Order: sequence, then structure tokens, then C-alpha cells
Amino acid sequence: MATPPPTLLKAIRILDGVSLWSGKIVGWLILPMVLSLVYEVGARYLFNAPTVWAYDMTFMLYGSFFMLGAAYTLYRKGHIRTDFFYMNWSVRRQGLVDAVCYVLFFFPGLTAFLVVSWDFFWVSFERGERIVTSPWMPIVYPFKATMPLATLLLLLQGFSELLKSVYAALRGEWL
Amino acid sequence: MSPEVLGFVALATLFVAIFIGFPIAFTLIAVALAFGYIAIGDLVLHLMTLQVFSVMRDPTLASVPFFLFMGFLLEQSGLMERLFRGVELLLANVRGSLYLAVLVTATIFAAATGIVGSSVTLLGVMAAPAMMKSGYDVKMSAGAIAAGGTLGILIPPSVMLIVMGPVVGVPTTHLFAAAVFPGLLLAGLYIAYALIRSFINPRLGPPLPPEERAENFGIVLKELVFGIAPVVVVILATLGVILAGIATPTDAGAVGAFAVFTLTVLYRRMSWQRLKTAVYSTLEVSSMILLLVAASNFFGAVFSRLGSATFIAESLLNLQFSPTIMLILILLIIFILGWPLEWVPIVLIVVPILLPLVEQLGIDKIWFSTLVAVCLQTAWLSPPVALSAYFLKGVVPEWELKDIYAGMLQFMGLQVLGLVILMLVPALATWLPAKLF
Amino acid sequence: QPQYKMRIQTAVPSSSIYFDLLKKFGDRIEKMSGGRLKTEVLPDGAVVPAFEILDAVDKGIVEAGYAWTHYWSGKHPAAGIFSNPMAGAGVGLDQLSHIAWLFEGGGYDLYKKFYAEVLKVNVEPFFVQPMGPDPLGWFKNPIKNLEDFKKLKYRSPPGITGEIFKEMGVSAVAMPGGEIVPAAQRGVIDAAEWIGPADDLNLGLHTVWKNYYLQGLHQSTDVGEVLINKKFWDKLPKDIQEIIRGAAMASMTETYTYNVYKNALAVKLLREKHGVAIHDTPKDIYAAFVKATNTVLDRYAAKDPFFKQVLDSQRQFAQVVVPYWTKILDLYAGLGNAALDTGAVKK
Ligand code: NA
Ligand code: NA
Repeated sequence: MATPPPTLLKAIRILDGVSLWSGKIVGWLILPMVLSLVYEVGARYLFNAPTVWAYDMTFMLYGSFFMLGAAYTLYRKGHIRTDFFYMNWSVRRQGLVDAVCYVLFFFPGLTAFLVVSWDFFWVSFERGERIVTSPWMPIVYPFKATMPLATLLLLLQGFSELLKSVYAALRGEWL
Repeated sequence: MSPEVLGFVALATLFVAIFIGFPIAFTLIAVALAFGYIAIGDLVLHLMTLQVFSVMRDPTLASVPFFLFMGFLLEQSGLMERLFRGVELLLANVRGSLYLAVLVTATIFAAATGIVGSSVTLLGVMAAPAMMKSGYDVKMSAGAIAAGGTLGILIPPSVMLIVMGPVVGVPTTHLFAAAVFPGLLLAGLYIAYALIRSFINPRLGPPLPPEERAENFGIVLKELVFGIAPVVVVILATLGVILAGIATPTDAGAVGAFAVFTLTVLYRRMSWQRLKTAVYSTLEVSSMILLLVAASNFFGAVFSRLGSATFIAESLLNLQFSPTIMLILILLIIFILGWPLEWVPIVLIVVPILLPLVEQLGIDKIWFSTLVAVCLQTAWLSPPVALSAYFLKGVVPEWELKDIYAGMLQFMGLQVLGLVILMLVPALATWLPAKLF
Repeated sequence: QPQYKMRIQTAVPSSSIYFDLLKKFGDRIEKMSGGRLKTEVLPDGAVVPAFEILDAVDKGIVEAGYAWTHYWSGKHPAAGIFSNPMAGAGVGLDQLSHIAWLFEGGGYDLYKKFYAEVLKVNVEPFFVQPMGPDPLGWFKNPIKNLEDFKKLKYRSPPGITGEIFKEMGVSAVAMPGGEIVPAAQRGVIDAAEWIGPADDLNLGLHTVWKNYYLQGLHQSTDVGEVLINKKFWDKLPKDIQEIIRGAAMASMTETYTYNVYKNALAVKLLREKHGVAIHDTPKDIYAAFVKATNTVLDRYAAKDPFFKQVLDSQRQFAQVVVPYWTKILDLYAGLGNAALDTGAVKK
């Protein structure tokens, strides 16, 4: 079997690397999430002195955590599939189906979502929007910015998956 | 094509598209976007933004990463396997003892959390390895975990009942009280089913082979006290503070994760490598679950926006049957709508439309709400659109989805049985709230 | 003739009395327009959740929305003082004199300017439901004075209102409606406010606590609004636009009367069936609240010119109206108390 073109391998390596590293960074947000809430619980129940910031901090970290982790999860093949037909198909067929799905299901919607969620963030940024349900009233736009950022990361990883599936469709082998 | 019909075509498309084998979250998003675009143009993208953002700032769902982190830390440390092993040692002769352990844990867990995502995944992480090692039947193991996990949304506290209370105009406290016995009834049905089937066919849940059993009770006792008790204490303390009303599930999830981390360090079971594995697994599974929740909410919102659910409910209003037949029809419709949809659009759109009819028929609102709640709990177990199955597959990749589905279908049968019992014996739901309030 | 359909995404559950009132508002529009404009009222979360309503209407995801301006105070602080100038803007406006400010004191023009020029969103706004005051709320134990109040953990509305409680030294926490009862049962909070007697009854706080304080200052006035997508609005024929304006005005009166009666019924039920004790809010809380309100509102006015413009308008209006109107309110309070004291009305 012919070796895969080096530019293809390099492109995949770079795209996968971005997702891998984003996951390695974002994953650790779990620690401040846990710690700020543990601090809050201690301050509230032991010292009767609740903080104004801990809940908002935790909830904004939580939302950013799972959104920004979506690309890493795609790279790790962690997004569940209904695989009972898929798993019995030949590699070529799997690659073909995946490639078609990425082109039809994945890129158009997420590209449009990138634009719209960027606008969602930008309007919030221009207003200096704050979270009104909180006594702390923190600014909300950095949190809203994670939506377009997460979508961008997903699109990059999706491109890597598309390259892999096209290669699989043509050569009958997963990279 | 009218928007209402378009909604049904969207559902049908989803049923087919999900089998193509593309990641389900993206399939849901694509189908919702496509049909939403036909109906309302690029507004559908704004709807998606708002739906995703509302999941991103949902404080209840924030407990999911905490309970997962707690589970993965326990898994990495090997403490959890030791716990389930201990149960097997203790109940060495009992066929299917791990089902009992899983379902009792699930019931306690259900009384502590209000959502399905954290129960199913934590149980999956904790119990599945032990069940696989002991040669338990994959289908029934998966069914027990998935069904046990969905009790979280029925047994109080329950986010579904919190949302349903204001919709039906009954205080949430009354709905909580009403759901207690039906929840325990279902847990009892699950346990009885798993144990009876294992008793008849030991291959489903083999007892511990003689060579692995403890030589005497002293060894079992020692293992229970030193190996297991601390873990049980931490877990029960975490759940206990929620049950005792000291902390919210999200608070307790964080404190529990912190306590488990401390415990594993004290047991000298923690290493840099294990911590990294737990952190990255938490990220991967949290992302999978919560993106699915966001995608499924988005699909539900598009379906609501198309007006199909309103259409079905309104058609029902024109029928003339006896109250009993009408009630069965209403529940049937909710059951069927729950197949492809999750509970949110059904509680918010369908229930309010049918409520005047329910009142006019003189059906008790607390009993009705409880019946609806059990129907909707079943929606989590109804393949192919069954989030509970996806959550489980995410933490136990070794199990095939078709086996998980097959297991869940058995427990869906038990749900129907539970529903029939609740229909015949309304007091199961109405007695406790009347007694308490 | 062309048909129009207006979906109204609300911020309340379908069992709320304000949901009922919106349905009446919608029915009236349908009838007056001879069926040309159909309306559908949607409960909180049906298409989008409460705090996303303004964005949803702005983009046109739904044709209309229902909430309160203070829901948008994260986007601009002045949002807080249109529907709910705390403690009557710190200058003693009651619900009726506050509406007088809206219609006669230039409030409505500022309100339209707020959406069109300050937030720059595509909505045509209408005030529809005056529903103040919100009760001070439910307490585990009775309180005698401000000092007692300060010892409690209290669920207050978020935003500027929460800041005012903090300024007074009350430890206020914000949480969504669904979490209040579980938090009360767990003892996470010792007291909580929600909406009004009729809606509070649905929430079920009376099953946990039995002490109810009807006199709340934090939302002494509160006016629900309907926001209509501007593009949709501009497409409507002139007569239908006027019908909506008229229906909005009609809804003001209807809410006023409906509110009085439904809340009174709920209070009766709470007292007689559920054993709830109704208390008067301790007098020292009034002065402390007004003082804290003015401190906090001044702080915001110093930071933002539009906020200052709205607040100044309310304060100037109050200089004229409050001296007169308070005398009249004394008349009604005196009259009612005389009826109660002489036994003409049973306590
Ligand atoms: Na629960
Ligand atoms: Na389902």
C-alpha cells in the first residue's frame, strides 16, 4: 500500500495537535471549578460568610469547560455514534459515509453557527453586558466568547476528521 | 407543507439519520438546523445560540462534571472495584448480587440528585468494570444501570418535577411527595426482575466461583471495614448532605470530588498519571454528555417552534371519550412523544394544553402529574433516541450500543408495568402528599 | 385580507395569573382585529428561557415577548428602574403614581428611547401589566426589626435590588424560582420573596414557612411589558397597530383589578386554609431601605448619563406628585383601617 502523502499527514498532525492541546489545557478547569465551590461551601456553612463570586465562577467555568472540550472529544472519538450498522461496514464505506456527513451535516451548520455566535458575543462585548441573576454581576462576554471559540476549534478538528475519512474512503485504511 | 407536518417529518428524519452512524450530537443539530431553516430561515441559528447558551449557564447541569470527576478518581484509584468486590464477597451465594448493589446505589443516588446524566455516568464508571469482570450479562447490566440512573429524574429531588410544578399549578413539594412511592415501586420492580431472572438463569449474574470466595467471615469483615468503609463513608456523606438538606447537588458534587481526591491521596492510590487520566476523562465525557443535552434541547425547541406538539395536543381536545379512555390516550401520546423527544418540550408545551381537559374530566392533578412523570422517565430509556444509552456508552465504550438498547427495552417493559400499577392504584401517588400537607 | 400570527414568549409558567392576563390580552387583540391577528402565549422556556427573551424578540425568533425591564439590567443598568424603580425610585412613588410618571411624566418616551437608542434593539415596547407591590416575602420566623432581618439569608431578586439589600446589611442571595422551595426546605435560606400572593401560592412556600410579609419595598412597583419585534410591527397595518396599543392600555386596568382580587383571594386561602400568619413589615426597614436605595441609585447615576436622566425624571415628577398622592393614600389606608377596626369588615 502506498504511503500517505506527507502534507496530508502533516496537516492532520497539526489539526489534531491543536485539539489535543486545547483539551490538555481546558481539562484542568475542573480544579478551579471544584475548588471555588468547595471554598464557597466552607465559607457558607462553616463561617456563615457566603461569597458573591464562587457560584458565578463555577458556572461560567462549567459552561466553558464542556464547550471548549468538544473539539478534544471529537479528536478522541468521544462523541457517541449509533454504530451498529457503521461498525460492520468496510473501512472505505465508513470513510465515505463520514466524509459525506461531515460535508452535509457538520460544516454548513457549524460555520453558520460560528458567525452567529460571534455576533452574540460581539453585541454583548459592545454593551459591556453583565450577568443580572447574580449579586456579583460579573461581565459575561468573556464567557460568551467561548461559544465561537469552541465552534472554531470544532471546525478545525472536523477538517482533520474529514481528511482522515476521505483518505479512508480512497485507500481503505484509517490514518 | 405546513410547519406542523414539517415537525413530524423532522422526527421521522431523525429516526433514520441517527442510524447512519454519524456522531449523534451533530446529527441532532443538523436535522434541527435543516428543518428549522426550512420553516424559519436563518433565525434558527439564533435559536441554537440561545439554546446552547442556556445549557452553558444551567447550574443544575454543572453537577455533571463534578460527579464524573468523583467517579473517575474512584475508578483510577481502584477503590470502587474494591467496593463492588466487597459486596460480592458478602453476598457470595446470591445470584445477581451486583444488580442488587447497583440498583440500591442508584435509588440512593436518585434521592440525592435531580438529573439523569450524573447518575447514569457515575454508576457506569463505578459498577460496569466489576460487572464485566464477574461475567455478568451485558444487556441486563446495561439495562440496570441505565434504568437505575433514570430514577434520578423521578425520585425527589427532580428537575423535571421542579419544572412541572408551576406548569400544572401544584406546589413542587406536593409533586415530590407524590413521586416517592412510585419511584420506590419502580426500583423494587427493577430489583425483583433482575434477581428473579438471575435466579432462574445464573449466567445472567453468576455467583462468585468457590475459589474466589473468602475462607471465613473474618476476612470479609476486615475487607469491609478497611477497604470499603472509608469509600462508602465519603459517598454516603456526599449524598447525605444533600438528603439532609444541607447542600445542593452541585455543591455536594464538588465537595464529594474533593473528598474523594483527599481519600485517594491518603490511600496512596493517587499518582500524577492517574490524576491526568481522571481529568481528561472527565472533560471528554462531560463534553459528550452536555453537548448532547444542548443538541437535544435545540431539537426540542425547533420542534416546539414548528407547533407540531401543540397540534397533537389540540387534536386530542376535540375527542369525546370516557375519562379513563381519555387519560389512557393522553398518557399514550405523552409516551409516544417521549420516544424521540426529551421531557422539556413535552412538559412545557403539551401538558399545559391538555391540563384544562384533565381538570374538566375531574382527574386528580397530582396523580396525573405523577403518571406523566413516569411516562417521561421512560423517554430516557426508549431507543433509538435515548440519552441514557448514550451517556452509558460514553463511560463504558466496551459495551455495544445494541446490547445497551436491548437491555433498556426490558426495563422499558417494567416501566409500562409500573405505569399500569400506578393507574390502578392512584393512592401510590396521592396518599403521601395528602398525609404530609 | 392578510393574516398575522404573533407568538408571545413569556417569562412566567402557564399557571401564573399573569399568563392568564396575557391570554386575555391576546384574545382581545384577536377579537378587535376580526381574527386578522392571531396570538399564541407561550410559557417560560417553551422557545427560549426567560432571560433570553429580549434577544429572541430582537432577532425575530418569536414575534413578541413578555417580561419586565429589570430582566435586562445586565445589558444596561437603567433597565432596572423602568418597571421597578426600587422603593418608588427612593422618592415614594406608588404603583399608580409610577404609572402616572410613565404616561404623564415623560416616562414612556424615555422607555422607547431606552430600547431604540441605548440598547439599539429592534423592538416596539409596551407596558401592559402593573402588578406591584411584590411582598417582602416568606420568613421562617417572624422578625421584629431590621436587626432581625440582617441575621437571615434572604432570597432577593438579582441585580440592583440585591445590591440595595446588601447596602442595608442583609445577606441577599439570588436563585431561580424553581430552586427557592428546595433551598428553603434545606435551610440554605431563611426567607425568600417571589412574586405575589397568587403566584406564591403555586410555588408552595407556605408548605415550608408560615410567616408572610405583604409589604415589600424592593418591588413596590412592577410593570410587565410586551416587546414586539420591530420588523413584525412595521409590517402590521396601521389599524392593527392601534388595536395593540388599545389592548395594552386595556390590559393595564384589567391587571390592576385582577391583581387586587386574585391576590386577596390567595391571601384569604393562605390564612384560613394553610395557617399562614400575615405580618406588617417593621417600620425601621422602610427608612433603611429608602436610604440604601438612594445611595445605590446615586452610585449608578454617577456612572451613567442615561440612568441619571431617567432617575432625575422620576425624582422631579415625585416632587410634584408624592406630597399630594401620599395624602390620598393615607385616606384609603385610614378608610380601610376604620372599616376593619369598627368590624364593618372582618379582620
Ligand atoms: Na432525584
Ligand atoms: Na427516547
